[in-house]
This record gives sequence, structure tokens and C-alpha cells, in this order.
Amino acid sequence: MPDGNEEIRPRILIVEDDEGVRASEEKLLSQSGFEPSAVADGPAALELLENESFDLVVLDLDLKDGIDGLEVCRRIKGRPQLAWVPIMFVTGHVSSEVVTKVFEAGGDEFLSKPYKPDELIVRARLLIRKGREERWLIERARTLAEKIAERDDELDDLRRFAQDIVGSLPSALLVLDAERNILFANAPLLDAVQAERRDVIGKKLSAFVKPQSLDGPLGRALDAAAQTGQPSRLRRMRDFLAVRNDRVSDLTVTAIDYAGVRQVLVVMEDVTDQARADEAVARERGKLNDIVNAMNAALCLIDAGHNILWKNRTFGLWFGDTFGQPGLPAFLSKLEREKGWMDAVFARGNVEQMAWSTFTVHGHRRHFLNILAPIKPAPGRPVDQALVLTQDVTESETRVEQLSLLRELSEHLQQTLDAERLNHVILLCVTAGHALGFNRAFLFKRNKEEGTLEAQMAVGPGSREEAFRVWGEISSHGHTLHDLLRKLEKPPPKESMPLFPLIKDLRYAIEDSTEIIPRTALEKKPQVIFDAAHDSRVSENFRRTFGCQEFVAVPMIAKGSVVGVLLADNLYSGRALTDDHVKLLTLFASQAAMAIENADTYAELQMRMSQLRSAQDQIVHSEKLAAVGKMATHVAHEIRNPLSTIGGFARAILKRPDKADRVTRNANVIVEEATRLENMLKGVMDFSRPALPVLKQIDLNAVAEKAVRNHEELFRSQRIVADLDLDRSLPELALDEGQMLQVLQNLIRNAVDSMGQGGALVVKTERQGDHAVLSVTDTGSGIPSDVQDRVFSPFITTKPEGTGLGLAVTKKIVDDHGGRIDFKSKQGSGTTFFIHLPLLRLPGAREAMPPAEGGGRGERVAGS
Amino acid sequence: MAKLLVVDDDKNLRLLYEQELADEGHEVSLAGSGPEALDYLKKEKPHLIILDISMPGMDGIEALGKILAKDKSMPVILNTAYSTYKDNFMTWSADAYVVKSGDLTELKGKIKEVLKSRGISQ
Repeated sequence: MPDGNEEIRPRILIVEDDEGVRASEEKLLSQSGFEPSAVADGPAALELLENESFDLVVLDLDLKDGIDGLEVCRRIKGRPQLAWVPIMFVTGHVSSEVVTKVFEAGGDEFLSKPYKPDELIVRARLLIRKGREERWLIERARTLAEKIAERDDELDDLRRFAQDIVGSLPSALLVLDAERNILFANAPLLDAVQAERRDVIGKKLSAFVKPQSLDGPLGRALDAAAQTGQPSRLRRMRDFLAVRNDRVSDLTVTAIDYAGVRQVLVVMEDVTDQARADEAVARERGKLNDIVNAMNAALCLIDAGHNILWKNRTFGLWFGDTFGQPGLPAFLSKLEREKGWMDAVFARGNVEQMAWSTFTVHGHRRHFLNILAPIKPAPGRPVDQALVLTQDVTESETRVEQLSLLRELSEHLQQTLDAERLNHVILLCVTAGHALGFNRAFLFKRNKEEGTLEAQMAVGPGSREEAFRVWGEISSHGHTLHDLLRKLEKPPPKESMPLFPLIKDLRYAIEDSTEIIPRTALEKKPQVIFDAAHDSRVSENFRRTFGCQEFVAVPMIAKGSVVGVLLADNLYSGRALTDDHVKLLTLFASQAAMAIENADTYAELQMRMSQLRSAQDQIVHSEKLAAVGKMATHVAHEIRNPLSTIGGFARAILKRPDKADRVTRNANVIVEEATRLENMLKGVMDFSRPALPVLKQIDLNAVAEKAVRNHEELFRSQRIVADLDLDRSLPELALDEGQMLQVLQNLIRNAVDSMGQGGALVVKTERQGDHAVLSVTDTGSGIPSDVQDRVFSPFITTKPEGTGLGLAVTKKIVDDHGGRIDFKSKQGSGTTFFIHLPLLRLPGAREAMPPAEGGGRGERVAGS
Repeated sequence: MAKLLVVDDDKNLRLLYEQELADEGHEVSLAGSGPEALDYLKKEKPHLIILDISMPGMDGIEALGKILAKDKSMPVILNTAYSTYKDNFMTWSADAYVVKSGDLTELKGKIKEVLKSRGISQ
């Protein structure tokens, strides 16, 4: 645009062959604010225009050399960069023909000579202005053209770029027109359909896709995109291409509007690897689910609010159906109540364990073990979920109970000798708890005198309603059989039991094999009836009385004979009989039988006791006779030796009375043997009719000293060292001194005899509690072990000259003093006899003697 | 004259037998117990043994067994205060069984009998 750039003087090229005209025009234009340049001919003008820029050419029409003005004009206008330069012709010959030629040649203005200077200036200015405008437009147009050309290049770049991107995309691309003709397909798509580009472009999509796919979601997606522009995404598509292909793709179908034409772009993204990974995860999860579901344990996940977030199938089975408690099962409610337990898990992260038992809606008791374990939270977060594992431990609980049942039973039965209580315990064991857990139990006892089986007692609820009420109570109190038995002080009167009317006066003849109860006793084996209505073993009478369809009767056998029959059924719960139950009941019945037998025996024992007592007196009497007889025999034999000796020597004297030496010697032997006989007789007399002790307050130590002193001669001859070890603080005792001396003499003699030549003997007194103990210890041969348990029996002796009465008499004396005698003996090293005497004082006797001054232990009395 | 061994735990009875049997012209040795008799038999061989049964420790029946085990031909007369031992079959292996008495006639008769049957000259 010609702006106000007046400082830059417009340049004007003057082309004039007339030097004068040329100069004047130069001067005029220069004075009028232009910057003129002047040349004389066309070629010079054209050359100058090549190199310099002019705003106007003032051109003489009639140039002399070579080319005329019109030709110059045409050449200038023919050059694009100069075409805009305005050309003003100046000529003297103006005609319409010339004017036409001028404009045809591209001239812009015509000025006829002679012209006024103003005319030239004004027209020059107008032309320059017009020329500048034209030049700006031309340059602008050229710039635009250049820019357009450049833009085209950019577009080419973009297109190439886009093609590169499309070409390098891993996803397959497909562009369709509205008729599903393929407009474009990239290399991955060609790979996918296994075809060359030329065989794809322009073809129908149906050539490459299975028809059923086009009828399905893919077809619908294509239609949606084509008709409404609605994009779709089809996930995990497989097997939709006509060619075999095991890949999995996600498809994106979008509409693209290009130049007003609706096209459909389909992008196929290969997700085979993800799909396989997903499938693998799903498979693993499936396996895990199978395991979790197959577990014979209920699993559930709960949150801190005790809501169940997830549960396995077993959980549903157990707590959904079996217990008729959808939602939170009873044990979780219990957990809620037991706040501390849940706190332990949620607040402290403990793993907790809880046993829980309940009855199912069918009246079956189940035992559960719950383990509540917190799910490890993210670091620094509180526990907000916990896993509850519930195991059905009914079976193992039952086994435990069965074992403990037998243990409990034998414990209780052994203590129970009262028949009524025993019956009750037996029936409780059959009905309570898990072990047997029958609904009803009946006890029949054999009456041997009458030859009958009589119903003794029946335990169990009287009706189905009562049964469920009782079970509910037991369940809520958690009573075990153990508890029941512990609490059972005294059985209720059997008449008050619900089943009593059923069994009142019920008895069977033991030989009546048409009835199941006697039959059980007769066959001595359990009778299991599954269908009472159709079992020939069951009588109509029995069916009417008991009304049970399924039951078991087991014999109670003790020591090979039947003491009774146990009958049990599950009338109310309908629980089926199992081998286990029958076996256990049989085992139980034999235990119970033993207990009944014991109780019966006990009763009989008590009866026999009195009979025995009277019999005992007779026995004691006859035993006394036997003892006397034995003694008589022994004495008769014992006196034969001395009698033979006496008789023999007496005869010898008679035979040869002349031999004085021999007569004397023989007479001496006779005297000796006679003395021996007397002694023996005395011993027999002492034992068979001993004198009762005459008790006086006597110092035992003094008796001991006297006894030892009496034997000093014997000790010396046998080279025996005898010691006294006396407790001087002993009080006086109530003793018969003579008898006590005899005791000591017997013990000392025995001791000396056992030692033979040489040894040590100690007589000791000491106090032990409320007894004085007098002991005699020797270092002799000891008492042979085979006679140790008979030493105090009469006529037992190890001595050639012994009567076998010494220790028997000794014991008798000690017993008469209210004391006790025993001994310790080791063969080869010696014997000690201990005599324990009570520290009794006769009424009015003196106090104990104070210990004697200087008196003490270890007085040596005799020695060699 | 025969060589006799008298075994008895009763000292005075031993004295009686020693005196009376010596009067009969026998050479009499004495033993107070079964073991003592067995000891003697290790060194000497009597023509006849007169054996008491009721003795403390080893009784006569046990001693008889041991004696016969060493020499089956040894003549033995059991001499005892008890007639009941006759029921013990062991006593049958003795040559004679004499119940003790102040009158030694029976014993002396049995000694003669046994010695004669064994061909031992008087």
C-alpha cells in the first residue's frame, strides 16, 4: 500500500531519444519531488530495469534505435517482476490507432506532446500510486503463492508422517466407507487377514470376516458408527476373521468424517498376551475357589463392623441352609457379644480360637471350632478385615467324648453301688452328650429268681416338643455329660421321669423269644432294627409300647451271663443308627453290666457279711484246735530225741553198771536231757497258757542292764563284745520285769547263737515319738530269707537244740505289753530286733526319772 | 567189725550211738550235720552210714541224695524221730528206716542185717 512514505522519492525512468526532451523532463521531475533516471533507447532501459527498481517508466513511443516504445513496453510487461511497473507513453502523434496499440502493448497512460508540466507530474503521481498498489498486490499474491506452495510441502510432510505412523502402528487399522468397502488397511491388518494390499483395498469387508461376526456385535458396531457416528469398543474378540487366527483383539470402531464423507475406522489391538495372562489368573483363581469351596470348613471374610464380605460355599451350606440363619450366623453374633474377643483380633491383631456347639434344625448336635485371624493390613493401617475359619469338629469331639464317656463311666460306675443311682448314670451316659447321644434309653434288668427281664428305668424326653426344649437348654448352657454327671447328686425318683408311664410294670419272660428284649438276652448279641414295622423280630406289642421305627437293643453281659438289656433309639431326632453307635453302645453295655454286677455283688456281700461273721467264730475255734494239734504233734516229736537219749543211756547204765566212768558220764547226759525236756515243757506251757504280764512302773534301761549282766559269762566264753547304748531320759514304763527279762534273754541268746565264736552285740534303748524302742543288734549270720516271714511262728528254729518257741513267746509277751516287735536282718552281716513299747504310765506312777549324772551311752559291759 | 558213720545233730544222741555201737565192736565216726558227713566221706569210706533226718540246714533226706550221688552202693540206715518221713519216696533208697528209740535193739539188728546183705563180715 502506498503509505505516507514521502521521504523516499519515487524513481522514474525516462526513455527518450531526444536529448533535449530527456534533460528537460529529468529536470522537471526532479524539481517535482521525483528521482528521475534517463536513458536514450529501449535496450538501455531494459538493462537498467533489470538492475534497479523504478516506480514509473516514461517511455517515448517513437524511439529510433532498434526497438520502439511499444516493443519496450511489451518486454517490460512481459517480465513478471516488472509487470507491475506503470508505463506512461509520451508521443507527438496521437491517433486512436496509436492509443489502441499503446494499451494493447500494456501501457498504462498516454501523454501527447506537447504537454503541460503539471499534466506530467499529476499523471506520474497517479501512475506511481497505482503502480505501487499493483506491485503490493502482486507481491502479496506472490508471497501468498509461495506460502501456499510451502504449505503444500508441509502437508506432504504431514501426510508422510501420518503414513509412517500408521505404517508403524502395531495395531491393525482399517478404514471403511459406509458400504463397508475397504478404503485403507495398514500392514498389521494385511498380516492379520493374510492378504496383499491390492487384494484388500476396494474390497468388501465381508470377504475377510466371518459372516456370523458381521451379524453379531461387530456388525452392530459398524452400523452404529456408520449411521450415527456412535463409537464402540469390542473387547476380547477372537475367531471373527475368515482366516484361521488364534489371536485375541480389542476392536475400536469410530466414525471419521472426511470432507463431508462418513467413513468408519476400525482399530484392532492385539491383546492376546493380556488375554492369556487374564485367563491364567482366572484359572488359578478358579482352582483356588474350587479348593476353598471344596474345603470341609466354612470360610468367611468379615470387616470390623462384623459384616460378611465374602464366604465360601461350605459357609453357605452350613449357615445358610442347615441352621436356617441367613446372614450373620449365630456364632458371629456370639462373637459380637464377646466384645473382648473381637477386639483382640481387630485392635491387637491376635489370632483367636473359639469352640462353639449348637443343634441343627434337625436336632443334630454339631461342634465347631472357629479360628479368627486378622488380614494383614497395609503398613500403618489398622486391621479392617478378618478371616473366620470354621471347622466342623463334631466327629473328633464325638470320638473324644466317646473315650471320655468310657472313662467317666468306669469312674462313676465304680463309685456307684446304689442300684437306683447306677441305673440313672447308665442311662444318662447313653442319652447325654455326643458320644452316644440317643434320644431315649431304657434299662431292663434280669431277675434270676423270677426268670424275667424287668424294666428298671427310662431316660429321655416324653415328647418331641419336650425334646427340643431340653436340647435347646443343654445347647445354651453348654452342659457336657461330664457336667451332668458331676452335678448329679441323687437321681430323681424314677416315677417322676417322663418315660416312666411307658415302662411301668413292664416285664418279659426271659425265655420269650418272640419279644425283642428277651431275644437280645437269649442270643447275647445286639439287635439292630431299622424298620420295626416290617421286621419279624419286633412284636406288635413292642411297636405299640415304644413307637420307634429304628432302635438298638444290646445285652448287658458280665462274666459271661446276661444281667440285663439296654434299649436305645432316636425317636425325636430321627438320626440314623450307625455301626459306630452300636459298637460303642455294646462296649458301654458290657461296662455297665460289670457295674450292675458289682452293685449286685456288693448288696449280696453285705448280706453275706453277717453270715460270715458267725462262721468266722467257728473258724477261729477250729484254728485254735488245729494249732493245739500241731503243737501236740511237734512236742511229741521234739521230746523223742531227749527221751531216746535218756532211755539209751539208762539202758547202757543197766547193761554195764560196773563201769563207773561210763555210768557217771551217762548219768550226766541223762540229767542234761531231762533238764532240756523240762525247759521245752516250760516253753510250751508259756506259749499255750502264758501268764498275763503284771505291770509296774519300771526303768527299761535297768532291765536291759540286768539282762546283759546275766549273760556276761556267755559273752566271755563266746568272745563277744556286748555294748549298752541307753537313752537315760526314758521315763519309766509299765512293764512286767520278769517277762521283759525273758524277752531280752531270748533275743540275746539268739544273737549269741547266730554269731558263733566272736562278734559284737549292742542292746540299745531310745525314744521314738510316743514309743520307747528297745533293740538288740548282732553281727551274726542273719536270718535265712526263707524263714524270715515265719520267725515268730511257733516251732520254727534254725538251731539244733532250739524248741522253736523262743521268738513266739517273745512276740506274745511284747503283744501283751501293747507293743510291737520287728526286725531287720541281712544274711552274713547280722540282725537287729526292735521292740516298740508304748510310753504308758500306770495311774499314780512317778514322773519320769531325770537323766542320771554321768550316765550315758556306750557302756562296755563284757568283752574278751 | 565194721566202720560206721553216725550223723545226728543231737550231741547226746551221738554220744549214745558212739558208746553203744562201739560196744558192738564197730569203729564209730560222728558227724553233727549233713555237710560235716559229706566232708568226712571225702576222706573216709565207712561200711555203713546211720543218718538222722531232722537236722537244721541240710536235712537227712538231702544228705542222703548227695551221698548216693557220690556212691550209689553206700549202705545207709535212716534213723529218725519221725515216722512220717516214710512217706517220702526218697527214703526208699535207704537200706533201712528206723524210728529213734532209747532201745537200740532195732537199730543194731538193722545194722547187722544190712552189713550181712552187703557181705561185710562182722
